[in-house]
Amino acid sequence: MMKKALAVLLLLLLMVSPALAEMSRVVDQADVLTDAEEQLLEQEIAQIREKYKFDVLLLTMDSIGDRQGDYYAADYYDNNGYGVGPNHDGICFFYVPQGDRNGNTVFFVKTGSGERIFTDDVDDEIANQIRGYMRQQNYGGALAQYVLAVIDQLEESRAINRATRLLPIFAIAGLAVGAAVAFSFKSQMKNVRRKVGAMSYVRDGSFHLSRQQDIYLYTTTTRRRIETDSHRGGGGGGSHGSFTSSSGSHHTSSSYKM
Amino acid sequence: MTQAAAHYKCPCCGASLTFGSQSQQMDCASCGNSFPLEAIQQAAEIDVQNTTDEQMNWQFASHSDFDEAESAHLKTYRCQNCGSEIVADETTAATECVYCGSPSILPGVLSGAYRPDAVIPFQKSKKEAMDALRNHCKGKKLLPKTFMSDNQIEKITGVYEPFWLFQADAEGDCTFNCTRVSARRQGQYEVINTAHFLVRRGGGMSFKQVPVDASTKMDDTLMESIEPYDSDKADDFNIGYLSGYQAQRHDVAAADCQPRANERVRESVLSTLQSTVIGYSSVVPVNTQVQLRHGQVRQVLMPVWLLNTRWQGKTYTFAMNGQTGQFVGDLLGITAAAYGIAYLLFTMGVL
Repeated sequence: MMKKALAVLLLLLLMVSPALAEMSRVVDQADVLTDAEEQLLEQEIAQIREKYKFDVLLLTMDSIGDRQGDYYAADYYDNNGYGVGPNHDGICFFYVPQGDRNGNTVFFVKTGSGERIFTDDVDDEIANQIRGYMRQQNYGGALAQYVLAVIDQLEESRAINRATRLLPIFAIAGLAVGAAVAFSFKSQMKNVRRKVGAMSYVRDGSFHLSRQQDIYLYTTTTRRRIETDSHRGGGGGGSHGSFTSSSGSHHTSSSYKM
Repeated sequence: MTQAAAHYKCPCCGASLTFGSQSQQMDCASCGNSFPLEAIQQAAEIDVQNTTDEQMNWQFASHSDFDEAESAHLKTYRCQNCGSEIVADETTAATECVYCGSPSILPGVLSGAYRPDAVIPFQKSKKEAMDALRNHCKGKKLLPKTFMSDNQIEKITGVYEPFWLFQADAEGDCTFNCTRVSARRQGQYEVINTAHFLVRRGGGMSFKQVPVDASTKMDDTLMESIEPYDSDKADDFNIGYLSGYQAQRHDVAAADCQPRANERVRESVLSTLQSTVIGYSSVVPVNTQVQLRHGQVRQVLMPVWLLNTRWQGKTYTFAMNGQTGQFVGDLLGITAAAYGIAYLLFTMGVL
């Protein structure tokens, strides 16, 4: 009987384990959010992960001592396995309410495709959008606005990607269609032309083939090296920076005093 | 001396008769009767026997005479309907009197070496030619809408145009340089093998009556554009077919038209033999020899409707094959800007 109960318990644990294993994307150790706000933000982020394959971590801490905020956030992100895909695509919002070095400062730490999507200018824009909420200490409003801004940017990036991917195809298709139509128009407008040959006057069935020779002469051989793609590097600067976290992952970050 | 232009009158009402493209008979537009061509010609011969030439000679001042050069190219005739003098150049074989509008066939122009071997009668009427012009302008995206509404048909003329028809059996022997390309991957390299071949094809075909325009007055390209004609439906030449139409005699000798006929025959032989060279990546002709046998040349009058229209001070010429109805004519010239607009419109449409 005891064994049976244990087995049922184990089964239940296995069934709920994915939910338990699902990490929280709202880590509010500074306790600036209400439970309802946390829950709402979790739901939004889950939808972002599902739709855009992109992770969002909202992290607040009471204090991180003398550590640099963006390095701390990057380590937290890496060490807890956040991010989607092999490049750990995602972005971390990090805020420390108090402290000499990092107090009242917001950090945006970006990883993988987040580094490309959230440029310095985009970060500046998002920071401006949330600054008013932060100054009023309306952290729930600030983070809700932040998540909405992230969704907008991901949507825009997706549209640009799609257009960029299809642009050469559209350009070629447009060129081909435009040329075909223009040629068609021209053909319609001009139909006075010399005849090539006199096939209209060949008697039906009169053609006969009397000689057919195909003589092989020689073969020439050429070799061509197959080109492979090469990769490129990147960079940053100003109040924005790029760095490698202690786990070895590359990140870029923006920081703003609120 | 002024000659009498052949002219056929209706035995019923005396009006002028014209050869009808639909009825294939001599039609009277006045009383609506139609008559067989042979019967009308026999009646006309009897009528000629009953007439006597008038002797009304005038002494012309010397300055009013045509000089020798002019006389060599101009001839005068007398209209059998109204008696007016018709002045035409030496190649005009049929026309209409400018005073009474009667169709007149000018005698002697198509005699001797100029007598055609055959004629393809008109199968299409003037109304069909005008309808064809309207259809030709329909659906042209780049044609201004006012082109048809403001366009005026200046002149529409049915013309029997002289052609030389070249008929022969052609034997061709063509040589081609050909390649066959194959590619395979070898490590980081793509290895491309190009095999070279010398290919020879020989064969022949029969050409039935390839036409070449025999008049310098007509644009040769325009005439080739309304081909083909079905010369199997040509009739033996009878001057009665010309009634109601204009006609020209040839002023380009058969020998001078021969190079164009040879060029077209040669091109057809080459393209036909080349179409039998298959399985190669590239085929380049290097030598073509064509021999003609049983070559024959005939002089035939072909029916052409010519339409001249005027729009915004510019004349546009259209032509229709009087046998098949094939209609051609260049409209407004397309510009580079039009190409650009078409490209932009359709690029934006795709995007």
